[in-house]
Amino acid sequence: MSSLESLASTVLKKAERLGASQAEVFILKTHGRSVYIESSKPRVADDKSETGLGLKVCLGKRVGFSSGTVNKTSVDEIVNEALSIARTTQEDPNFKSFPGGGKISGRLEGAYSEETSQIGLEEVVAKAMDTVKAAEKTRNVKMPLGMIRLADYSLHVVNSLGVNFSHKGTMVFSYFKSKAAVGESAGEGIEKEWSTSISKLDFEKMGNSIAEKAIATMKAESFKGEKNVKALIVPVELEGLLSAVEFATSAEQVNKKRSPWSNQMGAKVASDKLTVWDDGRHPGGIRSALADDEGVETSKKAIIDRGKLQSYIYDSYNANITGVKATGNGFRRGTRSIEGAFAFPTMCTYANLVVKPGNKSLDDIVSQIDQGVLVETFASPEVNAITGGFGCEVRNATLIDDGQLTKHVKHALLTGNLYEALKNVFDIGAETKIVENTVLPPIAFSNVTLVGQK
Amino acid sequence: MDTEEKLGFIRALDSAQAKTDKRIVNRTSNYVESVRNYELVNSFGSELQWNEIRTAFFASSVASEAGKLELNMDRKYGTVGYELVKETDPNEFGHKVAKGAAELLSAAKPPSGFMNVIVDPDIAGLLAHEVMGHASEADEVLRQRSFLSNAVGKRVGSELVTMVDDGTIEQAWGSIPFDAEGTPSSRTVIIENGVYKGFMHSLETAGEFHAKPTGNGRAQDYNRRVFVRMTNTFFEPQDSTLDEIIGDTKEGLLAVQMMSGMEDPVGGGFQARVLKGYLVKNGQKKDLVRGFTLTGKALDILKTVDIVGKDLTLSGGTCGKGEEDWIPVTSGGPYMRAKIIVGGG
Repeated sequence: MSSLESLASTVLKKAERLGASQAEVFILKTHGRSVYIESSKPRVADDKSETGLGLKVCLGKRVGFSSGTVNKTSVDEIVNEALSIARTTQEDPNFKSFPGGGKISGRLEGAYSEETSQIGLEEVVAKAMDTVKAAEKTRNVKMPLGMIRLADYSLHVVNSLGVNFSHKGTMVFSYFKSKAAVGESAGEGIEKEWSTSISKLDFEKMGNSIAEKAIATMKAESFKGEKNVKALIVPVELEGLLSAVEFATSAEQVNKKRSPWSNQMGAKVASDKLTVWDDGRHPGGIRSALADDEGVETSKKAIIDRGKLQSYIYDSYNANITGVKATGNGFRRGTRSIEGAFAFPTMCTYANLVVKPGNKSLDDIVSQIDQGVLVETFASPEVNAITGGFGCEVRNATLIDDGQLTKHVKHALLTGNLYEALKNVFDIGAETKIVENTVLPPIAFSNVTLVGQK
Repeated sequence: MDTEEKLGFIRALDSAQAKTDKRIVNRTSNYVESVRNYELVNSFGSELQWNEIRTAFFASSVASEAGKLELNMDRKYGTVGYELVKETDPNEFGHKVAKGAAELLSAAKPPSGFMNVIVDPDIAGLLAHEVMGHASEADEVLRQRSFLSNAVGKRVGSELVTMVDDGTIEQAWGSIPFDAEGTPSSRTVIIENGVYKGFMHSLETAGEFHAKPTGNGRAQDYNRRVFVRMTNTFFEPQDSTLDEIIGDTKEGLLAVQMMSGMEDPVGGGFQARVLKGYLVKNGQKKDLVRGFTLTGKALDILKTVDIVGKDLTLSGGTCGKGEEDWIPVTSGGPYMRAKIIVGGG
């Protein structure tokens, strides 16, 4: 029995002995390292380790949750506090039970990298500087800000109904911002990368790419007027827009009647071109594991199949409300850092949202667009997930005329309704990228509007 | 204060929403309180202990009719205890939120283009915080990431524009007695009558600039990096009432309540997702319109500010440096009118 399993078992027994009808113990041990680059130089580096405990208990239909970092006294405090909260909380009529235990089978690839686990801070600094040096080879480009954060972690979940699950993983998140400036003109390039393995990230390529983006943004002109266009959006900006799909297919939102797809099972919600899966075991996916953070087995399931809605995602709480089996979609783990995840109760969310890629390169898709825009950077790609309305500030985009990329533009809004736009997907690229807990190709939408100054 | 009373408040918020309109299909009511205890010792001789007590509540309603969904929400935040709740009538608060959602079901599509926009204090605060505020954090200036790096002494807005960061405002959500380096919080004038005055500092940047630290060195947590961060950032009020501003507007849009925004210290761009608005025609507030987005270059917007309200309102929220390192902040201002790009209904 590992030390985490032993601790989890001790806490579970303690909670049950003190009166919990059921208990769920989540223990997370992390070792994280971060390097910050400021003004082209390594400025701060840190190396930190933490073991934390999240405890959920129920007294009938009263549920309590407490958490904390682990030491001898804190375990007792956490158990007592969770029970105390459960005693004072109102009964939740929707709560039935924590999930039952069951056999978890199958194989998992790419969730853990020994190299990432063992890498030292000096090596991480060197990789960050590879990006800086590559970017600054381009004239007029500097790297004011950058960061690499990585961690290796082990988690263990047990509950009173026989769940007993362990998982070991690694994760890397890097975030660089470059600046190009000539006289009064300036532009910013941003690169974000996620991986479970540091060796899969090409830091020099990142530097070259971010320099190009900064120069393009600097040269971009303010867009004037208003135009109905086709928009081709790259994965890193698409992820924020597709958060509406995550919202609309979450059983929590369906049960709360907030999802616009509440009564749409089997209906056409998107173009034939679009197939979306939730894949809890996608090789190298940021949240990939054989089970979710409640210990429920994960799988690959179709959410949208050629435009038709096939399934919602369920954590155990929402599955019990609906009367179906949980789909392994109860997660605490974040996608940019793992530290502190024990302090959050599980949420009904995707393991990895995967869009089925098409077979065209980005250039091929561009060549088929008459009037459009290739969006490479939004200020913040956000959607009102209830209505689908979006209006995203374009910070770096290239206009497309007769299949050719023409001039760079900024200071404009790309506007539309995401739920309508999904029905207007007319092409999907072949090359995918991991962005947070998604795996996305570029997607082209028709009938959106680009709005600029008069 | 016992838990039962707090639960009673939340139930009243929920019940008021439920009773308001049968088209309300979902209600959310949240109450959050936190007490953080700090101890700080440093080589400058500081030996400090303090705590920060914060309370917040939030209500949102979703209305549905004929397959259409609309959301409305409101919130209150303060660096204060349960007094925040005691001064609020949950029935009135919940009713207003639910009524707003139901009304949005029949709201019109917003206009798009470059137009006169009267922004409410919430959105004025977003402009103050996201663009002018982030670009006035001295670490961004030091890294040459700020479009305001060379702006000290220059005109960046109309004479009606004065903007400050003030961490000492009693009970405001972004107020702190000391920053994460032990410097007492203070009031920093960033823009005065349209002229740019200067930056906010941590100990590190104050050293680099040979300036006085302003108490803006803040960190999300004990295990996170200290950056230069804002506290309560807002435009100062002038002397017009909202009715006078509307009455003075021949054609335009009144923008109400921000949903989110994003910083752009390098480019000085502004983006605000707005919950709803009203058309303004011939000095009258007219039809309600659905949510939309505002964008433009911040300096272009501030230079066109031609009328400013007399009442300052602050709204609490959380701020990330880039896309993480979250801390509590407040932003705000009075109603202000400027020319801004509108889109995205």
